[in-house]
Amino acid sequence: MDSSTAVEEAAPRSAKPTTPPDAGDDDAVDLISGLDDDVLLRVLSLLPDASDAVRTSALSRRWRGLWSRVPALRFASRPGSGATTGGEQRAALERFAAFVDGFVSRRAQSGCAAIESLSIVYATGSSDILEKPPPPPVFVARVVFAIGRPHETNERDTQRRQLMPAYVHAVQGWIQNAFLHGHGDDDDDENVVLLEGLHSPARLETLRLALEGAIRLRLPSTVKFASLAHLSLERITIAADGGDGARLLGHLVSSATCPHLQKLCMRNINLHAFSEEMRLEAAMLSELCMEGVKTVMSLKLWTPKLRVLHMYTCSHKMLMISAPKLEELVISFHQGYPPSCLEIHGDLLCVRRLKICLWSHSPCASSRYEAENDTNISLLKHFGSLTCLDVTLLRGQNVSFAGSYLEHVK
Amino acid sequence: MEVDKGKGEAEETRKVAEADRDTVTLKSSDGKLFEVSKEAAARLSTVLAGMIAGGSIDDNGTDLKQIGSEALENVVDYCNKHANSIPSAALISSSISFNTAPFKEPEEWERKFVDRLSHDALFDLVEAANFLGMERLLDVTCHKISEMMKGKSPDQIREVFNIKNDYTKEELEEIRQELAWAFYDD
Repeated sequence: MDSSTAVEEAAPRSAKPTTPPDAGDDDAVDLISGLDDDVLLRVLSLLPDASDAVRTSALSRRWRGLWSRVPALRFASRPGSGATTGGEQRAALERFAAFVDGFVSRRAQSGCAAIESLSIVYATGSSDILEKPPPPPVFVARVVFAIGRPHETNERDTQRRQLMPAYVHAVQGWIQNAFLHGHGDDDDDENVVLLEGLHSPARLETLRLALEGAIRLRLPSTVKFASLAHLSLERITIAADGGDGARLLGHLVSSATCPHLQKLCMRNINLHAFSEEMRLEAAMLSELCMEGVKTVMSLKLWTPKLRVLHMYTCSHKMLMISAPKLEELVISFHQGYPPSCLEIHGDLLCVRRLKICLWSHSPCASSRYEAENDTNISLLKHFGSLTCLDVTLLRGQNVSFAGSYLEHVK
Repeated sequence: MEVDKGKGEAEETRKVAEADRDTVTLKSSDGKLFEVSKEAAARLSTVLAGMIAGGSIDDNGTDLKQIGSEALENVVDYCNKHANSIPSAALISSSISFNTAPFKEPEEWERKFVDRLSHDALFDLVEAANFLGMERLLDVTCHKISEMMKGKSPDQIREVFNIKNDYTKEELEEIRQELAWAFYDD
């Protein structure tokens, strides 16, 4: 390993010979136990799974009960547990859920510190899946129009890349009994996880839930996250009773449930049944990212403070956006299926940055793709103050024609 | 980023000299002097930022009696490296970010920076970062320690960190039973 050479140029004084950190000998002193509690709690909060933190209690008296004061916790299912059959997977999920449940209910006892940070990730395969950003869309050419201030495009591009992966973490809060199992009337192949009985005292700030596999999340109808500021829901299939999923999901992420929500990310959300309407009414929401929120016929956004809106593979028939403070919009539709009704309230005079996708050579069902282009072009008419327009051309080589769209901006 | 300010400048009034300098001099517990970019020090360390703002920086070397020369060298090294990567750092902080994570994964150079440290040096650096209020360096070093712990049994962790088990057999058994629920995937 020549990693030390890389640092020597900046460490001119004496690069002492080092030994690998793991090489402990019998005489070596215990350096870790002498660290401040705050530092040890920081170490424990950085462990990838909360079970690691709990188990440190067995190390020595110094460590006993430290886990009960760790403010930030992550729960991650172990990849490759060898569960292949439905029954094994269900059993693995139950153990995981029981652990999360056991943990948070123990932390609810007096004498424990409030959990400030909590992330729950369940994946049947490798949990890495959930950490990876979604694959980029297939495209042949990408044109960025920097209008007025060309240097902004780089920064803009950086932002775009940061957006998805960065959201992948999260969570501060207090959740009690986050997982309760469904009632016995569900068939064996499907696991239903309930999000019921959540208690959210003043500390809850961010929450991330990522569930994968044969899990269906049942949304609560009565729950309140009074202090929640950041929420991320990923890869969740919602158990919807009578097509009610979209309404409940909208309710969950609206001000009625989360009055202080500022950042919201919903990725790969499947509503089990086709749902009519989802209304998102969020008074404080500043940044919203939606990707692959499926089978919702109509989406209505009432977001007076929204600054950033990213929507990927948007497949709603009807899309209504009321966001007078919007500064940045990135939007792509489910291929060939733009909303037949697109309603944007007012002129979005604050929007500086817009990213859209256009088809250059229409594939087979050309009318659909033309409609998608038309929808995108009609979008442009709402934005009078753009400084950066980023157009991705899909499936075609005819880049030059995109230049004509510039005129819509001016 | 070695600094070659002439000693003669000390003749001028200290205030002026200090305002002109773009580095500060830090003195380790064993009396060694280190120069560090003032901008980076102020940005990365709440304690140094406070000292710089409060004018309690000594041109002849601000005493940091709690920090040995090896740890201070690492601190200064980290600050200077960080100073060199300002463009990206500034971009990140100024841009709209969906990052709500309490902790951002270490960057490649930060990983290398802690990976090369000896066991002792790592812990000295943790304590120095804690003392100086260097949030990011503390995260990066604590992350390294957590990587040395993750997925290990208590016995393995004791071995790595030389932790002495001071429980009695009965106590240990009691704890194991108490924590049985945390060994859910064994």
